Amino acid sequence: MTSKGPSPVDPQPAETSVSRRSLLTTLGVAGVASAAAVAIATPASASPPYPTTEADRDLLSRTLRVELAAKRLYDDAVASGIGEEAAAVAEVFGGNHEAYADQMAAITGISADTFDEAFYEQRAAAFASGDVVEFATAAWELENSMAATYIDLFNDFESIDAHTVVSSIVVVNGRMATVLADLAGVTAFGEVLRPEAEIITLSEGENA
Amino acid sequence: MSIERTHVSRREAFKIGGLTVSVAALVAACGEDRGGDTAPGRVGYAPPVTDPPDYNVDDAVLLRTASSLENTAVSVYEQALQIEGLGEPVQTLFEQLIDNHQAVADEMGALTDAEGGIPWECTNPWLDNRLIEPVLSAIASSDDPARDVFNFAVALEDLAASTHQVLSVELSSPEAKTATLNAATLESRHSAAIVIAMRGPDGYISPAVVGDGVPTDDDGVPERYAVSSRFGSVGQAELIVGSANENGVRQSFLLQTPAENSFIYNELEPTC
Repeated sequence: MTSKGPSPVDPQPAETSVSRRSLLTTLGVAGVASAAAVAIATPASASPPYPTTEADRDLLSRTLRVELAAKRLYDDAVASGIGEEAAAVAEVFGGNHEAYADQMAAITGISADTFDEAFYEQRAAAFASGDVVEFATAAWELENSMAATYIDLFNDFESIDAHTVVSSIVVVNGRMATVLADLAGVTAFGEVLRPEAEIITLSEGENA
Repeated sequence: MSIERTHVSRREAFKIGGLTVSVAALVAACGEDRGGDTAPGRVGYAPPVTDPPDYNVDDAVLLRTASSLENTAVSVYEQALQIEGLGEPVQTLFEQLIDNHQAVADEMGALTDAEGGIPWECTNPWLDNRLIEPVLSAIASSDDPARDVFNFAVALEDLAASTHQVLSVELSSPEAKTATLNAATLESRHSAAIVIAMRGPDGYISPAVVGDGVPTDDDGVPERYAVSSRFGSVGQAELIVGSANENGVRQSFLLQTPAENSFIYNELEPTC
């Protein structure tokens, strides 16, 4: 093969002069290329993660302790001698809250072994009063507050797992509240179906 | 002229026949570019299969579907109020439920609008055809319409609650997620309130919550409870209504949360 010698045109000019137009063109191309790269790397609407995130675990560790405190409150009510019918309700509802704590532990890997003492102390007297109406009213307010709190926190959860578990708990909070309203003698449908509720202030937990 | 007779024995005939079939199979297997329909064979006069349209499912579609369910509930309660024997407390409750469902429908409509969709102000046509109309027809000829209306109302509230529960997870807009979770809780309360209004404390808690079986009433229809499970269920539920036939069997319907076949897609024109 015969060499044809150096090219008559120098591909590397001695001095690189960049005009304003060529600079804008360069930046424009780079910008479009970057945008394209980002668009390819990131889906148009990023799906939420399925497993719980660190933020979820922090939040669920606190709600888990509230659930265990609720279980304890219902146990106190059963032990206080509120009668067979109310005790049967308290026993099952306490079991429900324990199951919610267990479920939160299952999706986060946190041990379900610590209850929220401040939450418990605020309500302990009413639950342990031995009076059906006093117990039922306190428990009705508790279920309404828990439902309202979960709804208030709902968008703070990030994962599908957390959303799925929390949504399946809230609807039963609403059902339990309706039973307790009947037990407490609340008869106005408006009050039973759309009760006023206080959002629970979650205490800082070990993971917080 | 002599005729030579070729004689083929029965054994030779079998050999020739077998060879012919084998060669035919070999040729067929090695053949290329065999045309024809690859779809499964069809027998008789069944209509041709049409592929469903490929519509997008976005937040607006889910919210329009939620509206359709709320409007369906309003329509059912309005018809149920015409049935005698419900009793004043239940009638008062149904009137309250109509107001609540209308309020949720309006809220879902406003959210649909915010998502750039057109609010759906009709009932859900898929549910109307396959559930509402057949159930109301069975109730009209029932031996106990009040019992059936009660069971239907509870089933409908449970369906609405579980639908909103699912939507609260599936929707992406934060406002829509909160609104549907609120609606799920409200409609769970509806279901529980209907049961308590009809059954009192006997209807508080289902034995299923602690792992026992659900009893039936004197007519063999499963009892309803305010709290029917530890966690909110989104699985299908059975509804039994109407008079028993000569074998003692009543009509049974399966209620499922809306899916691709019952979504109110953005492309659907209003049916009302």
